[in-house]
Amino acid sequence: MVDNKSSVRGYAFQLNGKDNIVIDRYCKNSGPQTDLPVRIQAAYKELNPSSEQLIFFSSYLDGAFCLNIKIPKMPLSEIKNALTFEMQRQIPLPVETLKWNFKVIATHENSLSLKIFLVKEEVWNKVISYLIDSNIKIDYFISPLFLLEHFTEISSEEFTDFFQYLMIDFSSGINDNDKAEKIKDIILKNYHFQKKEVEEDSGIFVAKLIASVIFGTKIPIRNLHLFELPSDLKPIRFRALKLSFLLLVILNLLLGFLLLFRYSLDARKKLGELKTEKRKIYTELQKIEREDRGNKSFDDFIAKISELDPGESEILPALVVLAKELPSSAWITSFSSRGREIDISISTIDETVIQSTLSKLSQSGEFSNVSVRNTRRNRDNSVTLYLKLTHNKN
Amino acid sequence: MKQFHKIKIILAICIFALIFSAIFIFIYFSESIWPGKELILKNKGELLKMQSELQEKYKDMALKRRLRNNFIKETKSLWIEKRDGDLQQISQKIIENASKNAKITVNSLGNFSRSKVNEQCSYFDFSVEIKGSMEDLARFMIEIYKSKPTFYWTRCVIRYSKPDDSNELILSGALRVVSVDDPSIVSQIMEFEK
Repeated sequence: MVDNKSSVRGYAFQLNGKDNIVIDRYCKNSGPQTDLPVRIQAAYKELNPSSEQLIFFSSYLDGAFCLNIKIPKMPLSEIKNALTFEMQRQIPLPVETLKWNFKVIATHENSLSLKIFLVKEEVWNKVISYLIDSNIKIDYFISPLFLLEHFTEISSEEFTDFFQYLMIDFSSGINDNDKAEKIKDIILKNYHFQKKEVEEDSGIFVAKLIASVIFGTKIPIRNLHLFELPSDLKPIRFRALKLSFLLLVILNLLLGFLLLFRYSLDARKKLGELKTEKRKIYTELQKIEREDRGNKSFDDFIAKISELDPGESEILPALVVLAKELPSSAWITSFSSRGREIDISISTIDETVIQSTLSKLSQSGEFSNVSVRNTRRNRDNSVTLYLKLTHNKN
Repeated sequence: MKQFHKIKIILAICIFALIFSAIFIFIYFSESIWPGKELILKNKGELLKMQSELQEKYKDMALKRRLRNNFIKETKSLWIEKRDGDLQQISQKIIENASKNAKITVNSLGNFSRSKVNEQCSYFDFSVEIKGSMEDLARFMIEIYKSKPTFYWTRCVIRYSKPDDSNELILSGALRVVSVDDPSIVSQIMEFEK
C-alpha cells in the first residue's frame, strides 16, 4: 500500500453481498513529505466516506523493513527478550533506536518462524506527528506482510516475493514477473477479485487484499495491529453512548450514595434517639441513686427502729376484750403482761363456761396461743383458770 | 510522552491513596458514620433493660418515700432530747398529769435507767405503781397512751390490793421510752418536721 514517492492513497471499501468487496472511492495525493498532514486531510475529504465503509490510508514508510528469523521454541513471553539479543546480532543498528514488533508465522517441532517488522523510532515518531497534525483518527496500523498466516495457499517466501513484485509495480507499473502473476491469479481466484479492478494499480490490489482478510476471515483486526498508537490519534467512538453510560453510572452512584446517606442518616437519628433516651434514664437513675445515698442512714434507722420491740403501747384494748368475752359468771382475778405475753387468772363458779370462754378468746382475733397453764379449785367451790395468751400486734 | 506517563502514574498513586484513605476512614469511623443494625439492636436492648431497671427503682423509691413519710408522721412518738428536753423531768410531769386527770395517786415512780439499743437509739425505762379502781386505772392508761412520746409497757401487773376488796386494784408496771441519740438522724428528723 505504499510507494516510494510518499504519495497518500485512500480507499473506502464496502461489502456488497457475502464476498463482494467493492472499492467505493479511491484517491491518490502525491507531493512532498512535509505536506503529508495536508495531503492526508485532502485525501480524506475527497473520499468523504460513510459510516459503513472501511477506510484505508496507505503511504510509503521510509526506513521500515521486515526480518524473517527462526528461533528455538520458547514461551511467547520470553520471545521479546530473546529477539532483542538476536536482533543485535543481525541488524547493524542499535536496537533501542528501532520500533519493532513480531509475529509468529510458523511453529515447527523445535523452532518458531518469526517475522519482525522494524522501523526507526525517529521515523515512526515523525509519521505519528504528521498523522496527529492531519486531525484524522486512526484505529490500527497494519503492514501487508503480516497478513501471511491468512493465505494458506501461498508460502511465506512466495508472499514476500509477491510483495516485492507489487512494490516494483507500484513504482514502475511494469508487470513482467510470471511467478508473481501466478500468485496474483491464485489470490484473484480465491478472493473473487475482478482482474480489471486490480490491474490498474498495485496499491488497490494490496488494499483490497487487506480488506478481504478483514471482511472475509472475520479475524479481529487488532491481531494485525503492529504498534500501539498514541491516544491523541485514536478515534473516540460512541461518545454519546459512553457519555450516557458514564452519566448513568454517575447517576446510579449518586442515587446509591443518596440511599446510603439516607439510610445512614436514619440509622444515626435512631441511634441518637436511643442514646438520648439512655442518657435521660441514666440521669434519672443517678438522681434516684443520689437520693438513696443521701437517705441511706435514715432508711437504715427506719429499718432498725421498725425491728425494735420496746413493748406494748396499748394494754387497755386487751383488757377490754378480755372483759367483753368473759361471761357474767366469770371474773379476772389477776393480770400480768410482759410485752405481748399475757398471764391472767380467771375465776368462775360455772365450770361449763370455761370451754366456751377459751374458744371466744381464741376467736376474738385479739389473742393467739391461748392455753391453760393451770386450774385450781377454790374452797368456795369456784374454779380458777391460769391462762397464757399472746396479745396480737395491730 | 514520558512526561505524560509520569502524570498518569502520579494520578494513579493519588487515586489509590484516596481510595485507601477513604476505606481506612470508613472502617475506622464506620460505627459513627454508618451505625449497623446490630449496634441499633444492641442499644435498643440496653435501653429496654435500663427502662425496666428504672421502673424497679421507681417502685423501690416510692416504697422508701412512703416509709419515710410514714415514719416522719410518727417521729413524735420518739424521744429526741434536742427537741423534747430532759426526759426524766418531762416523763415525771406526764405521769403526774395522767394520774391527776385519772384522779388516782401514784404510789411510786422508780428511777430512770438508760440502756443502749444500738448506735442510733436507746431505751429509757422506769417503773410506776398506782392504786385505784379499774375505771381509774383505765383512765390512767388512756392518758399515758395519749401522751407523746409513746410510753411502752414492758411489764404490767394488775392485782387486787386486798383479797376481799374487789374495788381497789394495784397496777405495778414498767414503762419504756425510745430515744434517738444519733445527731445526724436527729437533725434529719427535725429537718423533715419543718
